[in-house]
Amino acid sequence: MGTRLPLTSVVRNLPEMVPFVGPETFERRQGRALRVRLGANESVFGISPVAAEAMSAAAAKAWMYNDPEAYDLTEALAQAHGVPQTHVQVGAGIDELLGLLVRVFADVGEPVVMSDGSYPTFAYHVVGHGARLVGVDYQNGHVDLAAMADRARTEQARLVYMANPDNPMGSWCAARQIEHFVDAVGEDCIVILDEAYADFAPTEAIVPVLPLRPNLVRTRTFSKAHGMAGARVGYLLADPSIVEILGRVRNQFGVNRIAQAGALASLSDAGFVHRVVESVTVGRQQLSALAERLGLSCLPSATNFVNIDVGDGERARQILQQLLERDIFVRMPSKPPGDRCIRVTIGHAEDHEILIDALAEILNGLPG
Amino acid sequence: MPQKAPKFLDHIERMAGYIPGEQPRQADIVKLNTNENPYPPPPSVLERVREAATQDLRKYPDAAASGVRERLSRLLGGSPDNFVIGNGSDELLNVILRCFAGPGDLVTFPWPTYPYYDKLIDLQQAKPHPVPLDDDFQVAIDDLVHPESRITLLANPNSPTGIGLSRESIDELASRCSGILVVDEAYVDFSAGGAIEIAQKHPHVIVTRTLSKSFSLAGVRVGFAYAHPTLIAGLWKVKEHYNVSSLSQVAAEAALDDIDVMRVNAERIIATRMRLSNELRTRGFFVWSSEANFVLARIPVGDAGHVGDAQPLFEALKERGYLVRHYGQQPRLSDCLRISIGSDEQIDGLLDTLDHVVEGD
Ligand SMILES: Cc1ncc(COP(=O)(O)O)c(C=O)c1O
Ligand SMILES: Cc1ncc(COP(=O)(O)O)c(C=O)c1O
Repeated sequence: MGTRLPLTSVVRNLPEMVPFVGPETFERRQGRALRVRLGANESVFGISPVAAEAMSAAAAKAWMYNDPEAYDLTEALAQAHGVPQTHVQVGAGIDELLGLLVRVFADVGEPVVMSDGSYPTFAYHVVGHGARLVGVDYQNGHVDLAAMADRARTEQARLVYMANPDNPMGSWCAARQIEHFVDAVGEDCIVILDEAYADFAPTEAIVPVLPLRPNLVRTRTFSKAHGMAGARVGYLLADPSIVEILGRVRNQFGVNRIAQAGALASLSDAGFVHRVVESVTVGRQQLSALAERLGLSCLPSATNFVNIDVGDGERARQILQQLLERDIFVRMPSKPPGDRCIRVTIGHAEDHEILIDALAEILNGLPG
Repeated sequence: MPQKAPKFLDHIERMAGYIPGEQPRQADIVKLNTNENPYPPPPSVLERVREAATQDLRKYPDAAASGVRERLSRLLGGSPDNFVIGNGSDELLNVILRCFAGPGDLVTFPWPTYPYYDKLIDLQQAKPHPVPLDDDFQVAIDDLVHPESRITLLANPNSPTGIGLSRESIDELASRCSGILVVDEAYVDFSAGGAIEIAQKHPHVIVTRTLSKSFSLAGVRVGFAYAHPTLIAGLWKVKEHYNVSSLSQVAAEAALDDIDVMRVNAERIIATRMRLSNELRTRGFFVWSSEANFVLARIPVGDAGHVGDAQPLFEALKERGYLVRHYGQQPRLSDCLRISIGSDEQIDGLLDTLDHVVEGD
């Protein structure tokens, strides 16, 4: 009956496959649990005990609808960033907010500019809403801001996206360059600055929150340093007019009651996040050192993952497959120049060792 | 630096926002306005959420929500491939609209009904085709059938009326309507209905349900849709990957494992609903016969102070700590209140308060 489904033209033209295979799907296919799960850039360092406590308490009120305004969390975030509440919008992860932004700024067929191969879920939303993806190559493994600004202008794009630090490359651009970029694309073009990994980045990479530029939207998440990916909480900082419009189109009750309470509590436990960031920094050095012992180099990273350079895309794909056969889940960037790498989330030292041992074995079996 | 307001798509700029039912911040008010369940979910829900709100929360949720889908297929029939889980049924309604209604496409629904439909239609730049309920607030099937309709949205039981449409009528509608028929069964567990069998027969019928009402999990946000696997696969293409949090998934699993708790709670609510309906009728209200966890009541005609407008009564109840739903000056509803079924104690309190208000205390 597939052909008889009265889908809209946008949805009919979407790729046939469910585009996303999560680690649980792998586990179901294999019929056993993964040994090492370092593919989704989750935090192995877990959540703050304060957050766990708050969520336990909130669960007792599960029968009641959650606050659709997420007032307490929004207020706490506004204070943390030194902006009024009207600049903050909470959502069910950055992912949901990215979808909403595409929905309000990009019409069917309109161009949306991003680095070719950057965060796939943003691309998914662009395609899902029938907009047109315009990819710009990375330059030396970095987002090419000058080329992005050029493309945005020649295409007269209304929306551009960059992740800083970038996923999957792990690289970052300096705040000054980004500010220049936001001015260069012109005031009619909205820049989404996805700062999912901001907690791990050097301060020079972070654009000051004030003054707020009306065409700059920045997104943050509780999924990485706060370790709460399973709860689905993200937020954005933007001009109040954008926050107001998103308020009209968003899923009103999208951030559930328990997640709101957990995020609020985690925000108050700055010491926890600080320790996670330190552990990630140490873990990055440790993993790179292990990779070097196998004669492999790693791309510099300002995130909670590291790209290990294995030479070329074909090798990377083979290695990924063989790792999976050993119940080790990592991913690889989909496009050049990152696709010569396997992307490994920072884990505990034991996770790294299991991975590196497996990698050594696999490399031995691969032709030169 | 130039400061210019950002440019939104025209149809988004024109859109009005959806105003959800009030979620008051003060703790002592009795909430009878958004059809929540006064009875708690099974204790296992709390336990499972507590276990999930630990180190494991670092992981992204299962994008397929397999545990929930497996349980649903065991309880309701079909296979897991017949189900997709949403961040509330609100999210699934949104996904359905995105899949089947593009700009200018006709979307038919009885009116009044769940007001969120209207917003979702606007968002897709689709064309709303509201079909007025008849004088008794019944759905008129003949009027609902429209040859150009891409989607027909039927809340059954309907909100705010609480009135249910018979299975035979839905079956007839499914046979006659064009495009997709969505039967939104948010309140089905308080009724004798259920259209899953109809969706098994007709591959263009989608049934949506929620754990917000009968399962006492409104704050957890779990809704689901049942339909032919091909149709479900279409919805999958569009939904957020990680739309349902791990916390919500384990809560839903626990609630479904202990489904008898839901059934018992629903029975209690149905009993209280009958009692409240009768009590209100004794006091001169007109109460539509409800199959949901709320009743719609028209205030007595000619009562001093509120002739044809339930606003003053709504305010008076709110002042005294009882929040119910009033639809402002919306045609056909301005003289009505929708009251969610609370616990017996809450409903007794409401009735007492009502008596005081009417006596002018
Ligand atoms: C660049 C980037 N943005 C957003 C996300 C997702 O964030 P959230 O979990 O808040 O949806 C990720 C997760 O991997 C990411 O890499
Ligand atoms: C008819 C109807 N459908 C759907 C919903 C939303 O349900 P959920 O909480 O699953 O988003 C409601 C809630 O009030 C409703 O009345």
